[in-house]
Amino acid sequence: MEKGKQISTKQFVCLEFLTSIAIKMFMLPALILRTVGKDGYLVMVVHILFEFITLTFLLITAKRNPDKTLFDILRDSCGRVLSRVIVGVTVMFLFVKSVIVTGEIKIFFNIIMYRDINWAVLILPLLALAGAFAVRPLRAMGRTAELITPVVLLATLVLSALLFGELQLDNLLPFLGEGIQPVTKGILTFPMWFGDVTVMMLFLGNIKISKGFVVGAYASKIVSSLLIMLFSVVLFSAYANISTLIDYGNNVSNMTQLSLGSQEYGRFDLLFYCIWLLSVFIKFSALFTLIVRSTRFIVTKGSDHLHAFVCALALYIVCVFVFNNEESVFLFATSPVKYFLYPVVYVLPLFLTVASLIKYKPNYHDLPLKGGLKCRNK
Amino acid sequence: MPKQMKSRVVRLRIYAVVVAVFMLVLAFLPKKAGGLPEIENKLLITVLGIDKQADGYFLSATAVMPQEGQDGAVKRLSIGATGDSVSNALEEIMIKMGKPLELGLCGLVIIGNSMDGESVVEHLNYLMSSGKIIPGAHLLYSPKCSAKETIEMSNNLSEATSNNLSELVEYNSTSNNVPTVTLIKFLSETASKSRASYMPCLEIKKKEQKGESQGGGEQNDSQKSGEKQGGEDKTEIESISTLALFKDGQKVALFDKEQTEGYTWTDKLSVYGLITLKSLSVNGHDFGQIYCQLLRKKCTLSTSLDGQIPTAKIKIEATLGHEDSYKLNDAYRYYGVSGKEMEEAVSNGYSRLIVQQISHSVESMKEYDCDILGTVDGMYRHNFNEFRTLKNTVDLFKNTQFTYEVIIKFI
Repeated sequence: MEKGKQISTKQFVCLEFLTSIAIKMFMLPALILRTVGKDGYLVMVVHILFEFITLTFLLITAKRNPDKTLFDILRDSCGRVLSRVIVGVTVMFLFVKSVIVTGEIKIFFNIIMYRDINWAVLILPLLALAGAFAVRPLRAMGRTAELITPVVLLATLVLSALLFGELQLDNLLPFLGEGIQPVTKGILTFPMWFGDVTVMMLFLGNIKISKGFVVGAYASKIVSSLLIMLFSVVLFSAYANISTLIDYGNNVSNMTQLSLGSQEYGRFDLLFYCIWLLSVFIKFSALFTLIVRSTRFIVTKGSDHLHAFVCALALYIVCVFVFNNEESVFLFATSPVKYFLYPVVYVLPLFLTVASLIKYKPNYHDLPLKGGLKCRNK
Repeated sequence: MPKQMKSRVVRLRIYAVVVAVFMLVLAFLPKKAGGLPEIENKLLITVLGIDKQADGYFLSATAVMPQEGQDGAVKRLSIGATGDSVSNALEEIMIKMGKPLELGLCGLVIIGNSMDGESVVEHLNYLMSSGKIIPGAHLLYSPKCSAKETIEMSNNLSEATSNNLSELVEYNSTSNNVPTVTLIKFLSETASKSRASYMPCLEIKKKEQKGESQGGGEQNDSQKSGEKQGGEDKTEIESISTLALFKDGQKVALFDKEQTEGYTWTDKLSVYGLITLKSLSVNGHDFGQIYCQLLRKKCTLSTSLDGQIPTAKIKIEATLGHEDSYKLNDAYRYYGVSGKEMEEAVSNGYSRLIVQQISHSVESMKEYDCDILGTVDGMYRHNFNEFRTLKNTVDLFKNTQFTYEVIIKFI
C-alpha cells in the first residue's frame, strides 16, 4: 500500500467507468459484426456479464483487505517464484491488450481523421503520457480520472443522443435466426477485447474505501455497459443485413455521421469522440502502469523510470515494427494465444479472492477512516 | 539550493528539452518524412456518377479544388475516367488528374440509365466496404440520360455552391415529402428478404432561353453564368419526385408521380409536405380543393402468416394542419356546416385518398414483384417460426393480402 497516495472511492468509481467504456465501442462492434453477424451483440452481452462476475471478486478482495495489493496477495499466498510466474503471464495478457488499444487508436485516427498518419511519431506522446502516469503515485491517475469523467460522460451522452435516430431494433430480429453457433464462435473469438476488470487490479490495496464503494463500482459498470450496448446495438441494427460490408475501422463514428443525415453540420461529432478518447488514454495508462509495476515485481532491480522506459520501448517496437497494421493485431489477438492468456481475466480475480479469504483476516475496520479517526475493530 | 530541489530543476529542464525536441519532430516529420498531402493537393469529390460503357464503366464526378491566390475560393470541375471496374475507374481519375481523391465529402452517387439491365450492388458494395463513400451518401437514378450528363448539367444549376445536388437531396431527405435513400439503406434493403429497394429519379433538362426581352437579374445571372462556363446552357431540375424500383440491385420499373405518392405515405422519413384533396363536398355543398400541410406522420407495417396466409396491415397516423382554414369558416357561416362535420368530412376525404394512393402503389409493386415496402422482410423478422415452415417464398409478396388503416388528426 502506498500510504497517503491512495485513490479515493470516487476516483476508483471514475476509473472503473473510464476503463469499461474505453475500447468496447471503438472497433470491436465492427469486428464482431463482420465475424458473427447481427446477433453479435449477444457476444458483447455475455462477455460484459462475465465482467460483472470478475468485478464482484475484485470488490470482495478490495473491501475485505484494503491494505493488500495484488502483489502482496500473490507473494503471501504463492511464494516468490510462483507469484512471479503468475505475474509474468498477467504481463503478457496486459501487453497484448495494450497492443490492441494502441492499434485501435491508430486505426481511429487513420480512418476517421487522416489516412496517412505517421504512427511511429504519434505513438510517442501516448507512451510518454502512460510513462508519466506509471512513475507517479496512483493518485495522479485517480485525480485525472475524476477530472475528466464528467466531460467524457457528457460527450458519450451527446453521442448516444445523436445515435438514437438510427436505432432500428427491428433489424435485430429474428432473435438467434442463424442459431447459437455464430454467437458461441464470437464469444470464443473476441475475449481479448474484454476482461477490463483485470486492469482495475492495479488499484488493489490503494483505495481509500468509503461509503458507497460497492454501489458506486457497480453503478459505473452498469452505466458504462448500457452505453456500450446502445452504441453497439445501433451499429448491429444498421448493418444487420450487410454485416460483411463493414470494414475494420468503420465504427460507431460512421453511425453518428449517418445519423446526422447531412454534410451541412460537418463532423462536429468528432469533437465529442476526441473527448471520449480521453477514456482510452486513461485506460491505456492504467494498463501500462500495471505492466510497469508487474515487471518491477518480477525484476526488483532498477528504478521505476527505467522499468517504464524499457516497457515503453518494448511496446513501441511491437506496435511500430511487429504489429504495424490492424489486421496483424486482429489475427494475433484472435489466435490460439487467447486461450493461454485470457484465463488471467477469470482465474486471477477468483484466485485473489480465495487467497485473501484463506490468508488474511478481514481488516477493513482497522484502517483509519477519512479525517484520521479509527473505526472500532469488531 | 537543497539537493532535492536541484535535481527537480534538472529534471524539469530535461522534460522541457524532450518536449521541445518532440514538438520540432511533430512540426517537420509528418509533412516532410510522412508525405502527408496538403488539402489543396487533393481532389475533393462531392458527387459521383456510374455509367456502363461497352469497354467497362465510366465514372464521372464533380470535383472541387481550392483556387490558388483566392482565399476560400473553389473551382468546380467535371471529371471522369473509364475502367474495367469502379475501383479501376477511380484509379484512372487519380492518374489523369495527378492528385489523390478525397471522397469523404461525397454525399451523392448517381446511377445512370446505362446501368439498366445490370445489378448496381457490386459497385455500391465496393464503394461502401472500401470506406471510400460514407454510408449516409444519397443515391439518385438518372432515368433519361447518363450519370455523366446529369452531373454536367447539375453543375450548371447554380454557381452559388459547389455541391448543390447534394444539398438538394439532403433537404428532401429531412424537410420534405419526397422519399430519399442512402447507400447503407439501399444495400441493406437489397440484402434483406425482400431483396428490393428504390432510388429517387433525377431529371435535369436544359433551360429554355426565352430571349433578351425577359431581362432582369436572373437573366443577367444566366448570361454571366454562360460566359463563365464557356457558353454552357443553364439547366433546371425537371423532376425529383418519382422513384425507380430495384430488385436484387437491378432496375425493374419506374414509378409515376401517383405511385410514388402512395409509397411516400409508408416512408418513415417523409413526414412533411403539402397534401391536396382534389374536391370536398359536405351536405351537398362543394368546397373545391382542400390543402393541408402534413405536420407529423407515423407509419407501421404489421405482418402475419397465420395459417400460412400472408397478410399485412399498413397503418398511417397523420397530423395535418389546414392551409386554407377560411373554408371552414365559410362552411359554418354561409352553409351552416359545423366545424365538427367539416373536420369529419375532410378527415374521411383524406383517409380515402391515402388508402387509394397506397393501394394503387402496392398493386403496382405486386405487378413488378418488387417489395420495396419490406413486407416479406417483415414476415421473416416478426413471424420467423411461420416463415421457416413456408415451402415457397417466391410469390409471398404477390400473394400478400393488404389491409389499410388511416387515422387523421388536425391541429
